[in-house]
Amino acid sequence: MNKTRREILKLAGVAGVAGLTGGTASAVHAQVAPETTKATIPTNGAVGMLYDASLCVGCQVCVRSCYETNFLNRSYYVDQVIPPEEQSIFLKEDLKPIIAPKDQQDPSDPKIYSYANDYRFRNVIQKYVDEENGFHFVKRQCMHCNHPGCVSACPVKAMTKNEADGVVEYNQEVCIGCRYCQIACPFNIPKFEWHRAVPKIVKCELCKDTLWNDAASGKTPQTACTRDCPQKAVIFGNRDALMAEAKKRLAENPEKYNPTIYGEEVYGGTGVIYLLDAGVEPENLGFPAELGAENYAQKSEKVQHTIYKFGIAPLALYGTLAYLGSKNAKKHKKEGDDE
Amino acid sequence: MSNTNESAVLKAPILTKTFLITLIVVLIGVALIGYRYVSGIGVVSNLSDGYPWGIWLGYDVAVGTAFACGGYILAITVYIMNNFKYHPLIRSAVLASMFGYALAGLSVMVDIGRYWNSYNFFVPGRWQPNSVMFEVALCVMAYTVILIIEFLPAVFEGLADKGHAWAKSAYKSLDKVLIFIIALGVLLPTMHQSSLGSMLIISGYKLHPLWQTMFLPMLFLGNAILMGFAIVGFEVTLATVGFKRPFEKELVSLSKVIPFIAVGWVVIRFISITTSGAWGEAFTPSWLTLVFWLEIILVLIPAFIIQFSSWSGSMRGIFVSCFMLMFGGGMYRLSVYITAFDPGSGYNTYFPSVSELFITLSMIAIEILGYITLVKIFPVLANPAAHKKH
Repeated sequence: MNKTRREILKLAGVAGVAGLTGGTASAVHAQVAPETTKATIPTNGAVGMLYDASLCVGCQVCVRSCYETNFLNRSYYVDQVIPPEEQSIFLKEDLKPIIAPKDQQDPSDPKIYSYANDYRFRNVIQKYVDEENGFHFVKRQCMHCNHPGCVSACPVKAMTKNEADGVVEYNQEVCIGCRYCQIACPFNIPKFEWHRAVPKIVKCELCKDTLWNDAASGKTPQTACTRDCPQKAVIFGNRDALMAEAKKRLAENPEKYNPTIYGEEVYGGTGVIYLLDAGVEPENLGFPAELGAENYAQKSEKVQHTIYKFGIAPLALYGTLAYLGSKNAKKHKKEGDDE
Repeated sequence: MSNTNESAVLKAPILTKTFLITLIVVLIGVALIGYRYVSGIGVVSNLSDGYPWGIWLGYDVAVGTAFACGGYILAITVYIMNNFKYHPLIRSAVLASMFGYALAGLSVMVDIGRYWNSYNFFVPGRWQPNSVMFEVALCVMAYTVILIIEFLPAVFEGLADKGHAWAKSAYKSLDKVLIFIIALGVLLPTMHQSSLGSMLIISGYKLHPLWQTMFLPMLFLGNAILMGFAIVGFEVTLATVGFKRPFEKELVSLSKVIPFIAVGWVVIRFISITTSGAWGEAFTPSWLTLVFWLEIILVLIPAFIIQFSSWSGSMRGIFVSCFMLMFGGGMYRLSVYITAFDPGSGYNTYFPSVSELFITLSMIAIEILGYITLVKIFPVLANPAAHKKH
């Protein structure tokens, strides 16, 4: 299985440039699309996504393509969760989303994306209104951390980080549904199907199962959201290449962006990285304010492995206990016989 | 078999009013659990993606297994520290611990969403040694088996007294190896009780700085020991009153160790606050600050009573001190798992639903039901006749 994945990534290297700049939706809305990017996908290493907040207009095409691609049932995922006035974007016949440039949108638009925390979505756009700086959109999905908390926490390897491509994958066939991954995720990403008798965890897997097989037919591995984003506000690729691209954009327009690339260092680095608007801090967009570069998974593992290194401490303790116990029991028996 | 007459069957009718009331609670709980399996966890509980763990884990497992530390504490006191005079207390403590752990396990099976996959804990290829939960789960399962074995002497003795010859020989063979089982019964709780604390280290900022610390494993172990002593005092005094039996004076001397452990625990707690630089939080006016200080006070006051007050020689004094310790200690564990846990904005603060509470209540009811029934079938409680010899 890993071999196929590596081959997919090789193909990705060949077709990388086309993949990053192509896509049908962007051609339709070329008037607001940014300049094409030149990043390429090298033949190996972790992949990820780069989200550029300055380009996102909050159209939510990415949300729709995500659930359509990942075979999520529309009536279940849309009708039950999204208020009727917000549903039009998710209707298949309504293929042309409203993508008014941000400065032409009404900041007082009450649309608050009320489904944003719902467990039935892997990928959401959230809107944050801030009196000083207007309003901001942010795309939220699994960050594909370098050292994921969910992977460290999972007792049965249902969450794993693929060594070849860095994707944090979920295997429902072994998952016991303990939800320790939810406790461990600093970004509150894994969602649990609370209202199902046979529930599972729902989270972004970078469309690996659903779209990457396209690479076998010569297409670039993509994610639904990056493929369909009309603005190219989110792009897919090798993490190193995306990081270089983000730094390039930052250098070209330093006044436009927050100088820190979110995801470069936070929580030990994440596969998905963010360029935020100038003056906007991650905590303004719902990212945890308390989260620094420290990785809690590594911290927890350090404590656990210090205590249980090679099982020496438990074995030594057991030896001592068994020795003291049997000595005392013998002594007690002897005293009892003497009575 | 020098212990033969140390314990005795409690001669009382099994079908009592208490029995029937607890049985009704159990049946309602079973119905709700059935509903949970058909309709999903979200229907019966107030759990959410922000607060994925509620009282089924926070109370039934984290607090429940601490309340089940009586067997652990007495195994240390009697066999490791060589205080065989406390041996008469051991069977009732082991019985209570057995129910505590078995029901924690049952609660986990209610709580986990994909319970049919839990066999993966026994598939070595699926083991994930980085996971604190992996270690806790294996240790808890193993310890539940150990507790059942530790209770078997009472069963064999009871059957032997009824004239089953095989039970007598089974008792003798078990007696030869029992000490190695008991040693495991000390090792396993030491491991998983500390790991129950380590479990929340990975939650990072979600746990309030007054509770989030690298000292979590040490604090949980200390808390388990403290609560183990408290529960022995609580159970024995309750059995004395409930079953109208003479007061077991061993309790008074056993409780004398509590003040030292209590003060030690508070010192470690203060060191942990110092190392995480969270003293500012301890004086910020908020509910959590109050909870924090209550956790400290409810450990220090009983320690003070036992060490300095003449009240500590009486059954009432021991009962009150132990109850306070259990309350404060339980509160500490609930804080780490629920009260002081905050995933950030966007989620409604968790408070258990009525059904959720009822399921937990029914678990406690099963425990009481099992305990009051088994002490009337097998020789578990200290034999008042043998008692006078001391």
